[in-house]
Parts: sequence; structure tokens; C-alpha cells
Amino acid sequence: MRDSIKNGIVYTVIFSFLVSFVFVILLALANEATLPQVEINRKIADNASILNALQIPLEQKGYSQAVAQEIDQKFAQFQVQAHYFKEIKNPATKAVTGYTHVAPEDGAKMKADKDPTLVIVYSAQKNDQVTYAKPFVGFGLWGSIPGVIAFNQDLTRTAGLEIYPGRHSETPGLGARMEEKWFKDQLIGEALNNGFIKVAKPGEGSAPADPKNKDDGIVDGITGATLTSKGLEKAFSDEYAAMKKLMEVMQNGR
Amino acid sequence: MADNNKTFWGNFKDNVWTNNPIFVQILGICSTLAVTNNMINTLIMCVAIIFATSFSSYTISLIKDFIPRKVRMIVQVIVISFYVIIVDIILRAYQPDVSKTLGPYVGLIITNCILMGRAEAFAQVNKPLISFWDGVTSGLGYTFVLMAIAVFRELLGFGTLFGISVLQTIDNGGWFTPWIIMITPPSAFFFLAGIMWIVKNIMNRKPAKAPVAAPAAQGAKA
Repeated sequence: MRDSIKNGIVYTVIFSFLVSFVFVILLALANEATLPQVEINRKIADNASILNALQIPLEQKGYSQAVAQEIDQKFAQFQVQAHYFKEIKNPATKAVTGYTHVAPEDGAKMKADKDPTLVIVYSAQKNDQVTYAKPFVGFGLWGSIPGVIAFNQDLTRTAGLEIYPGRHSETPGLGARMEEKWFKDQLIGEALNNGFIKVAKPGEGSAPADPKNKDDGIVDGITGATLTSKGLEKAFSDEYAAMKKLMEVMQNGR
Repeated sequence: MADNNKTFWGNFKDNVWTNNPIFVQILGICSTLAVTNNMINTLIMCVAIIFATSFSSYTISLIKDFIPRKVRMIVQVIVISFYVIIVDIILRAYQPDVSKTLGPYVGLIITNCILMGRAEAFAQVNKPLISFWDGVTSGLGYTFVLMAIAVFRELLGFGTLFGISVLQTIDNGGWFTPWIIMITPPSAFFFLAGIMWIVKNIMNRKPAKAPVAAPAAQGAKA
């Protein structure tokens, strides 16, 4: 192509426009084509985490249609239900002072709109007992830690913990060890001392943690990840306080 | 650049050894430090880089005669971004766990100097097929170094290779205390420096052929 045409302003503008247009259109098409699968992936990840926290294990792994069906089947089998609430905030301090119950249709709409005042609690029927699972966002060393914490019927013990892999920024091998089974298993059936579970520094003199003792309200922290451990400790007590208020609303409001 | 990288075999030798993007041209260091503490993630990053570099070099070589001089680099970035975002879209839809672990590093491939470097230094002045191959071999040179670092970092940092336990860690009832520094980026700096030292020693032992010094000076810095 003749250099004078190629480097002229008209050609430059038209060429740049065409190149951008073509590649962006192709990307938009690729994105649209995979959008349904991405949505399925997200739903499966969220619901699988709820089931994991409730200690209802899934037999299959992955993101296929079969897994989605197994999740639906387990939700039905254990009568897993979502309860929607809206935060009531003190306008001056912006602190959360309470909650109001929200109807399922409105709750679903708030979820679709990503309304930040929406709070969801899941209830499940296991062995004639109700177990609650509450998605939460804790704060670790490097950023937020989204997870799900489960409580037993009368909120005297936690029933399980799930941390969403990959949605937090804690250091692998250190804070990220909160994703490991040994850590999460400590929260199964651990007693809450006045709504508080101590996440102990391993080897802490005055409060040695015995993982097998579920009644002392103490669990082992992660070696070398004190701030992550303390962040989770705070998350557990914050969520307990929230659950107490939410239970009152659930019992009175419905 | 000397013509020893215009043949398929010559190009392979050049990009994997003589002018390796990482330890000779010193490009693409950022991702080297970040993802190499886990061999599976490293392998997926490397496959992504091979794909993106080869296809963007091929595409750029195809349209090189039509690109106006003033927007040369802009057009190259558009092409590179296109292929990288395709990788990101595919991972997010069909390998969501991998996508979550690799996180922002996939998108950051766009900024990896190797891709722009090959586009400027090779694809702009060579035919499409050899440009595609040059992208593949540059990616292989990158893979070779990253996997070497990843073997040590995962083994010493987690006691595993490809996720399979090799050195039983204390937490699993074994004897091995993981070296936490291996999990953090500084360890990759040390390994990379070590690799460069060893490689340069091997290279300099050979009788001084002119090509060793010259190509590095003409290295693909835009």
C-alpha cells in the first residue's frame, strides 16, 4: 500500500476504527455466548458453599448440569430456604440497629439489584433440627473474606464454616489456610461463649486450644496469620450478634 | 537481528536458549514472580501466554502492511488484548476455579512485555507463519524458566508437586516444615537470579561466537 495513503489522516482514522470495531464485536460475542455458563458457575459456587457450611456434602464436583441438579435435589431434601431481610441503619452513625423481614419476591429483586442492605439467612432441616447458614463478609489482612457461617437452632454452637476460595486476598500458605479442612472443621459444633469463639494464637500460654474440645469456645488460629485469624474471630462474633437480632425478627415477623 | 531465528529450528533454539525472553532479554518478569508458587497455575499461565503470543504475532504479521505508522503500537495492543481477553473469557466460563486462583494475572498478560516485544521485533518484519512459530517458541522459552522455578517453589513451599504431596508436611503427620518464603514472591527473585547465573556461565563457556553479544543488544525493547 502506498505510504502516502497509509500514513494519511483519513486512512489512519478509518483503519483504527475498523480494527477496534472488529475485535470488540468479536469479544462481545464471545462474552455473550459464555454469559449463561458464567451465571451457572456463580450460582453453583454460592449454593455449594451454603451446603458445605451446613455440612451437607455434595457427591459431585465441578460446574456441570449434573452438579446443579444435585444441588437442587439437596436443597429440596433438606428444605433449604432463603429468608430475606433488610438492614435498618441509624441515619446519623450509619450503624446497623436492626432488621426487617422482606418478602421473597422483594428479596430476590434486592439480590438482583445487588442491594447492599440485603441480608440473607438460609435455614435447613437436618435430623429434626433447624440449622442456619449465613453468608458474611469478614476482613482479613489484605482485604475482605466472603464466607458462610452456620449456627445450630438455638445459636449456642456454630455448625460449620465455609470460605469462598479465590474471593479473598489472604496469602497462600498463611491466611489462605483458612480454606483448609482442618481449620473449617473446628467450627463444626463449637460452643459459643456468650456469642464469642476465640481464635487462639497456636501455643498461646493462657488459652491452649484443643481442637477436640468443642465446649471451650476456642479454636486454633493459623500459624503466621494472626491478623487473618483475628479477622475471622471478629467476623464470628459479629455474625452471632446479627443472627440474634435476625432470629427475633424471624420469630416475631413471620 | 541475526538470521539464525528465521528457520523453525533456529527460531526455537534462539527463543528457548540464546535469546530466552526471561533470562536474556529480561522480559515478563512480573508474572514470573507472582504465579510460580504453584505448578498447575504456572502451567496454565504458560499455555495462555503461548496461545496469546503466537496468535497475536500471527495476526499482526497478517495485517502489518496495512497498519499506519502512527497507530502501530495501539493496533498491536488491541490485537494482543483481544487474544488475552478470549483466554480470560474461556477460563471464566469453563474453568472457574482456575480463573479465580489466577485472578488478575490472566488479564495482566496484556501488559507482559514478551507479547509486545515479539510483535515489535519479529511480527512486524516477518511472515505470518514464522511469526506464529516465534510466538510459540517465545512462550516455550518462558514456560521452561517458569516451570523450573515453580518446581522448587511448590516443592519447598508446600511439599507438593502438581498438587500431589511429595514431602509430607508436619500438618499431615510428616517431617517437612514448609519454607514459607518460597510461597512469597521474593523467593522467585532469588531463583531467577540463580538461573541467570547458571545459564550465563554455560553460555560463556562456549568459544566466543559473535551472535551471543549482538542479539541481546538488539533485544526486543520497544
